[in-house]
Amino acid sequence: MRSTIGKAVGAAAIAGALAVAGCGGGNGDSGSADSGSSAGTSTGASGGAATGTLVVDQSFVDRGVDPQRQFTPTNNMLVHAMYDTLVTFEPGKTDPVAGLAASWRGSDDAKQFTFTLDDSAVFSDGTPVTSADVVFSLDRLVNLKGPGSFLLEGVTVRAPDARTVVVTSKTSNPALLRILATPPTSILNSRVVEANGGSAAKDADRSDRAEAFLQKTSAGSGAYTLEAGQQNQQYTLASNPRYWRDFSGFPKVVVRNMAAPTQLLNVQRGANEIALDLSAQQAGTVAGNDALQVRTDASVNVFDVEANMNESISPTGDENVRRAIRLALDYEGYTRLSGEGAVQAPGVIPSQFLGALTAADAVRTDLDAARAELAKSGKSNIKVELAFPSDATPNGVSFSSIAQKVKSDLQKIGIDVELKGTPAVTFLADYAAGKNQMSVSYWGPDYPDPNDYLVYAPGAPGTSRAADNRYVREMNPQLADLGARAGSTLDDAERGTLFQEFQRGLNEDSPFMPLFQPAQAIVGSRTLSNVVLDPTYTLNIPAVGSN
Amino acid sequence: MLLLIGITLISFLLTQAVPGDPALANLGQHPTPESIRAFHEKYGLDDPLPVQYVNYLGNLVQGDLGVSQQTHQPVTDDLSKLVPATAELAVFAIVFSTIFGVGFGVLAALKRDRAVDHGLRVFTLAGISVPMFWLGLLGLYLFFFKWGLLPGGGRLDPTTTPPTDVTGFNTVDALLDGNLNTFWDAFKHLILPGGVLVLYSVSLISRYTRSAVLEVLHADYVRAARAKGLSEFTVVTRYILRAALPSIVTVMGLVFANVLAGAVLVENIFNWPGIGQYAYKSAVSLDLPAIMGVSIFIALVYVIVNLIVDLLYAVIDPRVRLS
Repeated sequence: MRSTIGKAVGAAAIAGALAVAGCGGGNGDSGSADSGSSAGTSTGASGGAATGTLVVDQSFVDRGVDPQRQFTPTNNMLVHAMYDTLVTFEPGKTDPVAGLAASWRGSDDAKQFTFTLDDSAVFSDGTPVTSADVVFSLDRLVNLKGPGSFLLEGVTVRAPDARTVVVTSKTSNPALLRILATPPTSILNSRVVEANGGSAAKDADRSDRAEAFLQKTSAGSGAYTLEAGQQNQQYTLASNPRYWRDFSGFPKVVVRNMAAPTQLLNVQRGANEIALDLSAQQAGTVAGNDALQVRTDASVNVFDVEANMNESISPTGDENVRRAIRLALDYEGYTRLSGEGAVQAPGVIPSQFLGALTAADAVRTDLDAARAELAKSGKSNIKVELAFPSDATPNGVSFSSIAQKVKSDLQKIGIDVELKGTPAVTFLADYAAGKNQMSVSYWGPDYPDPNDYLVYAPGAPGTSRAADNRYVREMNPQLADLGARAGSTLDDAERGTLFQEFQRGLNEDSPFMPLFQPAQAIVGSRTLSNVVLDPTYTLNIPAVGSN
Repeated sequence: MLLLIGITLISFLLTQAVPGDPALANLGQHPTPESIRAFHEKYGLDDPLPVQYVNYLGNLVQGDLGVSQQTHQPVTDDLSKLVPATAELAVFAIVFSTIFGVGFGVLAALKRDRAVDHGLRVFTLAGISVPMFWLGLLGLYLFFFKWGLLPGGGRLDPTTTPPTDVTGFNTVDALLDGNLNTFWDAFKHLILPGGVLVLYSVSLISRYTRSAVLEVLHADYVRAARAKGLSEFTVVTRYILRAALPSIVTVMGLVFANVLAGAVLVENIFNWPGIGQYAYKSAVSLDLPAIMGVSIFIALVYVIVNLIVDLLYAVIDPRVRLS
C-alpha cells in the first residue's frame, strides 16, 4: 500500500508520492505496444548503456519484496524493478502502456479486460511468461489477504489459452487498467514460486510459504534480479541478463535505507546517486550545485483536516461549525509550512490526477464568514480536541506544526482547540474507531486514478480508509450516488467532470477539509537520466540511466 | 528462570498496554475486514491476553519468539542476522572507550587540578552532555561530507562485496577471507558510528576512573611502593589501577547499557543494520513479537553482563572471594 500514516509510522518521510508530470487522459480501454508508448521506450534510458553502480537512498518503510505481500513506496519501487505487470507506466506518467501484455481490449461496460501476452516475455530463468503465471499471481494477491488485496476486490481472472488472460470485475471498473500497473499485481514465475512453497489457493493466507524464498530470490521477468536483500537495510539488484526488452539502465543498483539528513550528504559526494526523501528546504540547499539535478514539485499526497460528523462525539457534527472551520483555515499558511513547490489542495484529488479541481475551486479563507457561520450554529465556547500523529513527517512535514496552526487559526473565530498528539499507532486506533473529534491526516494514492478517492464518499465503509468520520450515506445520498456514478463512468472526460462535481459537494459539506499538497523533492547526480519522482513506483529504477 | 518469566511478563504487559491495533499499523490505508481478520488470526491477537501470554511462553521455551509483523520473518532469524552488527559496533565502542577512558582517567588523577586535568574535564563533560544524534550528524558532516576521510553510513561501501559470513563481524570475516581491502572498508565504516559511542562512553569511564584513582593515590601502600623505588609506571599499573579496578568494572556495566541504548540512535543515523534500528522500527509499527524478542534479548544480555561483572569482582578483589 502506498503512503499511509500506518505505513509511514516513524519513517522520516513518505516518499510515496511523487510528482507527476501529468496524468489523466484515456482510461486505456484498449491499447497495444504499438498504439501505446513502446515498451522499449518505457524502460530505456536516454543515453548509452549505463555503467557502474546506481545508489538510491530512501527512508525505508519495508515490508519485504514478495510482490503480493507488500504495498509500501519502498517495496513498490523495488518490486517494479524486478517484476513486470500486465500494463505499466512510463516514468512520471499515469497512462497505462504495454507491459507483459502486448495488447488489451476492454468491454464497453468496463467490467472485462482481455489481455494478450507478449510472445517474447520470459522470466529471469528463461522460461516464457504464460497466462497461467498471471492467473496464479493475481489470485495469490487476492487470497493472501494482505495490504494490497483490496486492489482486486470483486475481480476474477481466467486464462482461456496460454497467451490470453481475461480479467473480470463484478462492477464497472474503469480504474482496473491502472490498478493492473501497480507492483502488487506483478507477475511471478508460478512454477518456481510453487516449488518454494507458494500458493494462490483460497487459503493462501495460511498455506503460502514463499515469502522467505522471495525475500532472497526474485522470480520475475523484470529488468533486475535480486542479488542480495537485507530487510530494512539495503537491497542489491543486478541487471537481468535474460531481460526481454530493450534496456540501458545500470548493471547494478544498491537501494539503501538512509535518514534524510544523511541522504543530503551522500548525494553530494556520490557519483551515481539519488536521494528520494529530501524536504523542499533540504533540496533548496543544493540547488546551486552543478553536479546535481534537483526537482521540486507538489506531491500527490493531500493533507487535510477531518471532522467527526457525529454530534454526540464532537461539536463538528454541526454543519455550521464545520463550515466555520472550513472558512477559518489559513490555506496559504499551510502551503508555506511545506515550502516552495507546495500548493493548496482544492479538493481531495491531487492536482496531477484526472478529476482534480482547479485553483478557482479552492476554498478561500474568510474569517468574517466563518464567524457568521459559527453564530448561526448558536453554539458558544466551543472546545474541540484535535488528534494527530506526532511521530510522522510525510514529505518532511510535521503533523505537529499543522495541528498548532489549526489551533491558532480556529482561535481567531473563538474555537478552543486542544491538541492531542499521539504516536501514529495509537492515533490510528482512535481514527479507525471514529473516536476522534477532529484530526489532521493525509492520503497518498494507492493507484493513480480518481476512483481511489471514492473512499471519501458518504457511506464508504469505515475500514475502507482506515478511518471513520461517522459520515454515513444518509447524510448526503445524492453525493454518494454521484460518487458511484463517477466511479463507473467510462469516458474519461465525463468521469473527470463528475469527480470534480463530487469534490465540490465534499467541499460544500463533508468531514474533509483539504489543506495542501506538500512539496516534494528528488535530487540526483547530474550524470543520470530519468531522475523523476513517479506517482506509482516512487522511482522507476530500470528507466534511470546515464546521460 | 524466574527472572526470565518476570522479564517476559513485564514486556508482554507493557506492549499490550500501548493502545492501538497492530493490524492497522501494518495493513496500510485499506484494511479490509477480511485482511484484519486474517492478520488477527495469524498472530493470535483475538485470543484473551492470558492465553496469548501462555502461548508465547510455550513457544518461547521451544526457542520460538514468534514472527515479526513488519518483516514477516521469525524474530529469531531477524535477531540472528542483526545481533552481530550491533555486537561488532559494541565491541569496537567498548574496547576503545576502555582504553581511552581508563587512560584519560588515570592521567587526569595523576595531574589533578593541572591544565591536563581541566582539559580532560571539559572534554568528558562535553562528551556526556552533547546529544548523540547531533554528534553523529556533526561527525558525518565533517569526516564524510566536508573532508571525505570516512564513509557515510552502512557497514560496507555499496560496491564492496560482503565477506563470507562466518562470525557476522565484517572485519573478522574479511580477515578470515584474507581480504584486506574489505577489512579496511569494514573498519572505516566502524569508525564514525563507533566513535560516537566511544566519545560518550569514554567520558563516563574517564570520570569514574579519575575518582577511583584519586581515592587510592595517596594510600599508605602506594606511598610504600614509591618508597621502595618502584617506577611510576609500575606503581600506577600494579598498585593504583588494581585498587581502582572494581569501580572501573562497575562502570563498565553501565557503559555496556549505554552502548546498547545509544545503538538505537547511532544505528539509525548511520544506517547500521543492528538491533537498535530493529527495535526502533518495531516500536513505531507496534510489532509486538519483535518488541518482545528485542526486550528479552537485551534483558538477557544485561543479566549476563551483570553476572560477568560480579564474577570479575571476585577475580579482582580477593576479599570478595573470601566473603
